[in-house]
Amino acid sequence: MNELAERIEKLLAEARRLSEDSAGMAQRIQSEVVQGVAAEGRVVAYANGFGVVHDVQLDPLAMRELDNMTLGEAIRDAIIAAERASEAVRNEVLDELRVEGRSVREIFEQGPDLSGLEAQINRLRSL
Amino acid sequence: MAQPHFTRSGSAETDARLRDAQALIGRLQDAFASLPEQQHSAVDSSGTITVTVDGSGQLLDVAVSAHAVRNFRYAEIGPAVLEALQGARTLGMQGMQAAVEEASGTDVGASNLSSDAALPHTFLPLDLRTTEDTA
Repeated sequence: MNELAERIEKLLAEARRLSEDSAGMAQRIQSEVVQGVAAEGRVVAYANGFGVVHDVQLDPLAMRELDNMTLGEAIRDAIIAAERASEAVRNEVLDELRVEGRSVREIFEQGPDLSGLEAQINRLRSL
Repeated sequence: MAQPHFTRSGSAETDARLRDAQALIGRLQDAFASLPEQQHSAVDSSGTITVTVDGSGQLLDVAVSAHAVRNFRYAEIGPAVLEALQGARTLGMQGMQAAVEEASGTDVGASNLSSDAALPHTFLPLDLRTTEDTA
């Protein structure tokens, strides 16, 4: 049981550190501004690190030089580019946040490593 | 993702609950898998910009009317696009919540989602997106 108690204490300490670190990182992701550009710079979309698009700017020339179909495609492409840039920023930040040696991004993508926890639970049930 | 599997079986009631949970997970996975096949469109209040997203929130299309290009000032297009984008993603989120409600038999407030909420570019859980989605 000492081994289990030590592991739980270690996990709680990790959880406290993670809580402090994640608050700062969420703030950092929120304050990031990324952009996506299309139609040779005539359309620019802006998003924060969470992927929320908050602005779409058009060059005055875009209205004269692009027809409505091409303008719609350019706006779509700019927004998608901004969202991808936002995802790259978010992944970079999540890579820095680590739990027991694994990045939070890796845990999001692959799931938690439950093998050790499962063994501990089975040991507890057998006591 | 590997599902946890506990080797020592508990009571019949516990086993029944585990089976129910596994069935629920299967229904939710099916519901999420069908989301990219859905489409949701919204029009801005001027009626000139239409945005279409799929059921997971991915942007598919932005349609600008010929009227907008002829009569709008360039600075008016961006806000109209954001309004339509927000509307389409709100519809997508409501569709996802409705799918969750149907799969789980619980009320998660699908009809109460505010269109004022700032929605990210996708709301499908990371592990349920396809490789193409995350590329």
